[in-house]
Amino acid sequence: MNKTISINLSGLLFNLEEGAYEQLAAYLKRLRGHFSVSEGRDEIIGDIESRIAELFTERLKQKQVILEVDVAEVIAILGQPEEYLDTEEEAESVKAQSESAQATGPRRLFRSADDGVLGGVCSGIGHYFGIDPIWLRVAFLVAFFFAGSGPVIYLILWIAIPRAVTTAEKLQMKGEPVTISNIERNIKEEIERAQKAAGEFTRRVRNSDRGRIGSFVSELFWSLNRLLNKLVKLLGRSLGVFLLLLGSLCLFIWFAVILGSGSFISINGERLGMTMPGLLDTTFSEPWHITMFMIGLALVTLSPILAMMLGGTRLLISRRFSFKWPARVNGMLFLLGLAFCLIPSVMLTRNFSSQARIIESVVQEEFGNDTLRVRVSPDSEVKLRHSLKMDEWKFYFNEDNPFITGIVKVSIAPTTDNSLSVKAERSAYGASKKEAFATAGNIQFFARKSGNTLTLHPYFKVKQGDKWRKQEIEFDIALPQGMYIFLEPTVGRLIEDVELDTETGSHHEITGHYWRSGKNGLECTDCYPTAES
Amino acid sequence: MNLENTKAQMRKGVLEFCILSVLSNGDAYTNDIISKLKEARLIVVEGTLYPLLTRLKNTGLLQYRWEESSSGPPRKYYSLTDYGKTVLAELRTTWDELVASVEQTQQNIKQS
Repeated sequence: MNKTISINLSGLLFNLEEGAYEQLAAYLKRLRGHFSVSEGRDEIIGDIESRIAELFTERLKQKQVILEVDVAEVIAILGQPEEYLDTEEEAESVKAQSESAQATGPRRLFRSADDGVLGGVCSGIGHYFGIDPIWLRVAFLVAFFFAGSGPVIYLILWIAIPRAVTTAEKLQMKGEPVTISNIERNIKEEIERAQKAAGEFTRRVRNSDRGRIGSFVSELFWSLNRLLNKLVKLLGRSLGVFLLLLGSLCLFIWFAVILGSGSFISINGERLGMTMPGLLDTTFSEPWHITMFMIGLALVTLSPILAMMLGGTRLLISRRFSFKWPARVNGMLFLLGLAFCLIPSVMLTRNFSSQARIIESVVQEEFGNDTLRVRVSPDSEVKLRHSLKMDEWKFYFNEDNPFITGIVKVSIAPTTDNSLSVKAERSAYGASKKEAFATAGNIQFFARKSGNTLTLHPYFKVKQGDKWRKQEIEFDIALPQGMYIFLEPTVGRLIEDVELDTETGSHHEITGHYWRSGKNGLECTDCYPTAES
Repeated sequence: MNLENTKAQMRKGVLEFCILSVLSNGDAYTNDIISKLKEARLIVVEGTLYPLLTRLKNTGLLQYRWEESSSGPPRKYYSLTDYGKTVLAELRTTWDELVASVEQTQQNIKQS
């Protein structure tokens, strides 16, 4: 059993035995090589192909497939190029002089649309200098990041450099005579075209009356098909470029965040003077947990970036390069990273298994009928450049000493007791009750009553060296019935819970008013009942 | 000196002239031209002709038209252009002169 190959010669379809095909391809290759410098090479080859088609047709009256013998006979009739080499050379001597000089001599700069990505600028320049265009593409991408000059230069070159359209121009661009690979490509294209349009061509031959219309329609479809293919290709390549650009950008950010000094990290518009490990150090207790988590985080975030760049590269590389293994390795890296992140995280939850509360009395005294004023200390805002705010906690990173603060909470409720009491309730988590107690005890706060005024510092501070264990502090103010309280506006954001008499003033701001402690809660004494209803 | 080469050079020199002559009898399809030239033993392999025809066409001596063929691809029918006819006339004169010169030299050799 022999394999046959279909080829298209002058619009006719022939089935050739594999050996016959190779023989013919080699012959045509030699012919093309021979005529490479002469004008009208394609026409001459076309004529010869046409003649070959004719001779094949004669031989196909008794059989279906062209054999090696047939090809040998046809080649004998047409002759080897060497046999008419003299004629050609002499006749074309004048022309050949200039053109052969171009074939081996200096190259000319053209855009190469055949193997280009966008307009073939890089590819053309690559041909001119004999370098791989990928480096030029990288250079253009890099130029895009620095001052964005890449696209501008590219556009100018795109407009300025002509596209290599004819074969001669393509050869001049490459600065080499017609090579084997060149012709192989031509033959391959020929085969593909024959296979695709086989139906149309046979139809065209059979209905020679309608041949012209038929061929026109098929040409039209063929052109449309090609156009569509080109568009899809272009879209794919654009997407590829986009993915590569995005991937590069992400990679840049990745480097800055994972390995950089941290000044690139910006959360809520605040730049942090800290590194990623520095941030983790506020919470993770063991150094190796931090290392492990960092590796995991690096892998988990790097993996999608690599996937993006792999995808982009795949779209740009026309050759069928296998991306199966890189993609698999990338996927494994992601899973490994996930595991690396998970292990320290699970271990971290142990540090939050026990909670402890320490309640102590700050104020406990008879208060008569006076008004208690509550305010925050005047110089209370911690002003440090680098901080990270998360919920009610603030992480400050002051050079080497990160420290953690949090907003204190205030709750107010009436009491049936006769004495005013302010209690501070500190709480924290830990791996054990003991640890949690120690951490809660380390919470530093400020609350002082002088005269009728209770001054609170709005932030508590976690002791230096302590990790973040969800430390909290709440001041519970118990107000004897009949007593008045006035909350300054600055206290507003600290208020967690106030027991209000629902009939009076529940619509009003709590701060800036005088409240009296009543049976059902705090009653507003200077609010107009209908003011906001 | 390569004898075969000289022979080929001589044949080649008159080949274009002969192609034009063949076509002066009327339009011809490539194969007709080939068979006539083969008969006259001017060419051995067909391939020689195609580049010649293309060049003559490109220099404006020949023109061609396509005609459908019942047994194969469409065929090129070549014919002389007006310019081709003038060139042919000139070549004929040159040829006659050349033949005369050759005969004269041959005679001189015989006489000496």
